[in-house]
Amino acid sequence: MKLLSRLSRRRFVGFFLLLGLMITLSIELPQFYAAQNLSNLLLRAVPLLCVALGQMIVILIAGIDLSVGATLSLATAIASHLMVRSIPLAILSILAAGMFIGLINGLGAVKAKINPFVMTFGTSSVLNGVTLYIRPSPGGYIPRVYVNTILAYWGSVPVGPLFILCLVLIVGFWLLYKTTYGRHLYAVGGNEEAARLAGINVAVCKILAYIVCGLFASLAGLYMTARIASGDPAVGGTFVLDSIGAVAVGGTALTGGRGTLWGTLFGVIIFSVLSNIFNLLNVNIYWQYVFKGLIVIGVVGFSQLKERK
Amino acid sequence: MPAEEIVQMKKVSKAFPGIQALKEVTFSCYQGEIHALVGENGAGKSTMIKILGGVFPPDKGEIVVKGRLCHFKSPSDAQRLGIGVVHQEFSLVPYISVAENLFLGMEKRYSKRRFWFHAANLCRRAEEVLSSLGLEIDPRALVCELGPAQQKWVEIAKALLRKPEVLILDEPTAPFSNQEVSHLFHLLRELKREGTTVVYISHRLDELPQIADRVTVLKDGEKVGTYAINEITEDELILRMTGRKLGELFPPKRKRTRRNKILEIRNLCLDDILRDINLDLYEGEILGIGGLKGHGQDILLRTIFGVYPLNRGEIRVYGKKAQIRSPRDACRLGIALVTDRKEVEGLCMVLPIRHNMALPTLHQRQVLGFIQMKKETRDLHSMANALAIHAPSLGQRVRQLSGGNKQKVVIGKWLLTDPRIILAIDPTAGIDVATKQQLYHLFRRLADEGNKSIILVSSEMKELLGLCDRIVVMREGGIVAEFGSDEATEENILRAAIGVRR
Repeated sequence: MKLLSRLSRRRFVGFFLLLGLMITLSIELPQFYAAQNLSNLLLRAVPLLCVALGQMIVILIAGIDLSVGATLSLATAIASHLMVRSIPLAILSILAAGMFIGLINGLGAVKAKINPFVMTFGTSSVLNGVTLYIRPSPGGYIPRVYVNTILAYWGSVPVGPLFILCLVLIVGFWLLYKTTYGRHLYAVGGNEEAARLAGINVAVCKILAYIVCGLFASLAGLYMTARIASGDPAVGGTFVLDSIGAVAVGGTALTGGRGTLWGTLFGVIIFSVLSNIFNLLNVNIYWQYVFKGLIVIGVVGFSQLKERK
Repeated sequence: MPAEEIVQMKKVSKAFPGIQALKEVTFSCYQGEIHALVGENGAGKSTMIKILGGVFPPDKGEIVVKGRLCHFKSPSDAQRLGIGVVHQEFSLVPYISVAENLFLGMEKRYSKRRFWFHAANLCRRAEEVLSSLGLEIDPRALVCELGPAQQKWVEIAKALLRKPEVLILDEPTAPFSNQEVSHLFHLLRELKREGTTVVYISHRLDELPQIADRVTVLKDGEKVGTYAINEITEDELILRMTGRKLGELFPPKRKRTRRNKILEIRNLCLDDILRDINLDLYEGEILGIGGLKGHGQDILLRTIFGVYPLNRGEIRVYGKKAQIRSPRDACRLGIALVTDRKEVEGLCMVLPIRHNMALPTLHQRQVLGFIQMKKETRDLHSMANALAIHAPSLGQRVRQLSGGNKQKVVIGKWLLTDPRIILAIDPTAGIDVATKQQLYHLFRRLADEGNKSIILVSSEMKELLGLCDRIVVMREGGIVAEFGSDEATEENILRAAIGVRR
């Protein structure tokens, strides 16, 4: 009971939503728990978690990154050209590209003091252009080896994606809760002036947040490359709003300084489970958008209501 | 005394998560009286007036205004019944003009047109209002351009404009100079003559006899009692507020021989604000900086701390020239800054005590960027115990702490850095007298035993005289006088501060 009240106090409305959903599903939609479907769910959740984690870090410092989707698409486009030559080279250059994009976003938002919304929206457009130039339509060749490693199965268990999921969670956990950098993130988001007066290099902390976000987005791109086994300039499209939505549903304050890894994880699971259910129920894709939007508004609105009391 | 009770609170209780802020408090004030409300930080004063002002409803109990039972759903409900509140926290809109702030929400009543308000008209009216209160504030100025004292005046004017029958002031004098305090008292007495009731909250107990008729004491969310002001002494009030007798407010000073210079400031200038400052600070010394508010004292300390870049001059620490370009550099040199603006400059309000207190020393407890949690917990616990911070755990959000405890968290985080120089700007502003006493004794201990050097900027004369080994006085951005602790008197300092020569 104490745990319950604690959870509800911590804006974990998402947790209850998920719980209710799971119970309803087991009664109404037994095929949801089929092994095939669960592994499908996992396959979808991994890239969103990756992107959402980076997004959350930027939102913690009261920023926002609208270029994650474009970074992801660009990553697949680069992969579709470079992977044939050398897989390690492709991976390294994609990760470097992600970090470079983050650096540019960070410099623009922090040093040039361009509003992060505007700055990352701008880079997003630039990246879209570049991606379409190098890969105008889905295609290219991705080596089987790469696809089979990332999406490795053991029987019907997708151990590859599972491994990546755990890795991302562990890295996120350590980064946010165990390192000095994690503490700096919360402090800068919580009160920038106080953080500055405590001797923290605020600018570096913020720029690093964008770099980490870019890195996670390109990592998600590497994963998506394996899933679609090609380069696709449109693959990242839904990730921008999904990641922001998942972070918000997970209880992270868009004003910065507040948010938990578990909240974000819940947000990601809710988003993945919802689209999975809609697919199982054969709900028209257009309606899926409508429902997703309503759920974000509903959950965040509800937790605001609780907060005010 | 007129016997009509204009506002009554009957057995009002209010709880917040983890804290019972008010326990069955019954309170009433008569029409036309000035009723003071005192108590330590966290005693429930602010909660009480927020309930009266309709900011949030009580859990239990009744509010009766002019004999009618009321249920306020919002501050505007309370306003409609003639209750006006000036909250302790800043509550103006920073980026619009003074005039627009004054008339916010009531533009229609003061403008003939229905939808477009007439800016010039509004300004003229605002000018009338401000000058009728004896204030010289430009109604066209943006609120964010004003100093804290002027902002407070605007808030007071805004409340008065709504012609309240009951005016509630929560610590209005915190940013005020002595002159401004007496001006406020003058205004309040006039209001009283017109029949307005004033509820007045203050930590400056010595102000009360000048202004209040009765005083109500709160302690730990309960009412201790209501007393006529001329029947109770300051010491008795303190006794009732704290539940115990305070010892000496200020610790004894020790005669000392001069020791090493730790900080030398030479010809320091900052635009027009600081002029050619020369100042030495010795080890184990508490140096006071006095003067009227706004003559550069706090800016001097912030400049030493690297908040503002200096134009000219140099700062030497232990005889070595120091390059202080940012607070980060200052921290590295062993300098700490504690200010009265703890919510803005000291703390991340949404974060727990742990995050706040560990912040400047994170790098000392890390291996390859990873925090050593056990060591951190140990260090923080011993510091929290040493400072007697009252909180259920290190996980407590600082927002929920009382003012005194907040300031202790700020001091704790800096003491963990083991600073050599502590810069303090009005560190006890808005803090109750018992905690003040603790802090004074702590500062003295740090100077005597820890051999730390402290520069204290204070607007309270008593604090300067009681605590400091040496006092310098600033006027118009320059240092105009220096007194040893035996030569310093209130008169000396004031004369130097306003520039009167003997």
